[in-house]
Amino acid sequence: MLDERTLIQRVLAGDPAAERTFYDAHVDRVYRLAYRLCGDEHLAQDCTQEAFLRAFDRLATFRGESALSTWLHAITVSVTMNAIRRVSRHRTREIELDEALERSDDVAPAEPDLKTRLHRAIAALPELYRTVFVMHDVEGYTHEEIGRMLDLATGTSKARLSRARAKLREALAVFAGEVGR
Amino acid sequence: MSDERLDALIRELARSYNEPPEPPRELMWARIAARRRKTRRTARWRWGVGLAAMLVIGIGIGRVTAHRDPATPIAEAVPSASREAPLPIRLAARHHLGRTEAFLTSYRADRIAGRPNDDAASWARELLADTWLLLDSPAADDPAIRLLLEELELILAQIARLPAATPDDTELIDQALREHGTLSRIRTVVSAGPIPAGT
Repeated sequence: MLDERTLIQRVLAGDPAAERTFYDAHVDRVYRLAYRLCGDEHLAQDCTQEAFLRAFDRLATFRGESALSTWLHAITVSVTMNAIRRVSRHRTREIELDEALERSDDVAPAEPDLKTRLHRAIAALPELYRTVFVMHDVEGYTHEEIGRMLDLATGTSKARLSRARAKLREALAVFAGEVGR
Repeated sequence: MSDERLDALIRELARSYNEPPEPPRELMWARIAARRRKTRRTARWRWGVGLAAMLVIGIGIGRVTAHRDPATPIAEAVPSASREAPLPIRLAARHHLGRTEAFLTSYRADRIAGRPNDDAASWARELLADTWLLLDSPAADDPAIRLLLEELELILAQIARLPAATPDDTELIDQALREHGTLSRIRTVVSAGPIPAGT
């Protein structure tokens, strides 16, 4: 098993076998992160591929100030968020939380269960909040890691998570109250 | 329900949000590898043009500086560093040796681990072409560099024909790398900076 530094040197020297080793070591986490953020299989594949291609092209700029995985995941988040914005511009499906809840109440033939309602509410969160919520509460990144990946202060990451949770609590309060009784 | 309990419930239920399927690893890798091959081909072409340009400039500089004033005594016109290749050529040679060292290290590691390296032959062919260019350049005026480049020429030529090679051929390559200390000599040259005259 190659150590990370040797692997980086070999990738930089243009060794295709080293690129494959690098890919194998990180692909599951990168794909998982991309999928969690976009929720679309084909888009997640495109973003994963693009993230690795950018990483190979830019590896010479990696200075080791953060873990290699954090650096790669930052690229993944950036690529995925850009892809989501591009797609959503086409689909014009950015829906504010309140509108989403109203629509789901109006349109849904039957009351969705708590999980479905929560997933809809997460999807309807503004991007700033949704990204931090998914990375922290779903994928388990720390605020420090999120800060490095999104180029945010740790406090901003915490504030966005808090706001996201408040919005989700709002969305679920009535339904959860019924469940909790 | 309290905020804490609601947050815990949210975290619990959120775990299944956009739950990823099994990643199609081979499919994605095939697409990445195809794009990388294309990038490498472009880079090789650029590298070849760049190296050729450096060699032409270097040879030109060498010719211009070699012209001496007829009034100048021969002893003064041929200083001790006159055999030193121009800096662009020395840099190109160093860069080439660095790439070759990385390749041979990778090749050897794969051989030891029993890993197939399907790209080894094409990579060796590319490095072999650059080795020939350097052998025909002033960089090879230095006897030590010439010897190193000639050794690399043999090793790379053997690796380049790997798909058709017998187990004996591959053993010969391994033996050459093991016994001639080629890799450690390249490392010494590369780590010393741009190849000085009389290396």
